[in-house]
Amino acid sequence: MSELLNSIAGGGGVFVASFASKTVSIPLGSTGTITTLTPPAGGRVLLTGLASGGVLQTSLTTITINGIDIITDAKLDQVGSTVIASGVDELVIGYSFPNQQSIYGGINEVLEIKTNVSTSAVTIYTYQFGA
Amino acid sequence: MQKLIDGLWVECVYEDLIDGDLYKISVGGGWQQQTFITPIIEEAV
Repeated sequence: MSELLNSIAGGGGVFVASFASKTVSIPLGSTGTITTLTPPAGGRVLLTGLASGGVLQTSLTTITINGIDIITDAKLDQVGSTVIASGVDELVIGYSFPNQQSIYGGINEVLEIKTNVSTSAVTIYTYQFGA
Repeated sequence: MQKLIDGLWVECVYEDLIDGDLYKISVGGGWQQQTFITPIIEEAV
């Protein structure tokens, strides 16, 4: 897609990374907005991985982009999961789980990961900034 | 690294953080922001 078409489509097309994180861990016991990712000016954020580092999280995770909830009340399954046992409530992004794609925001949009109560295990995630 | 003190972002180092501090790290031209919680270290039995 050309740069012009990209701009018309609101930044759609191939995501080109300018920064990629290593795995970031959030200690168990975290609550509220546990992570806020703000892309560089004119850039976008891409969430490439999100999972529990241990057992299934009993807390409920919500992901927002630009203040809008795009995933609500998901239980994070442990890294390495290839089968989601109960299906509807559980979530893993990346980490070899085959069916859940990365999530990215628009230009200058902030991505937040929230939880309703204290997390019951370490949460891990990876992300990229780019355009 | 910066942490939020009385509504202002102030330069700090990791050792300055205490439980509940909101802090952010500059990476790749953007920011990664979290609340600090002392990690629980499990001791071998």
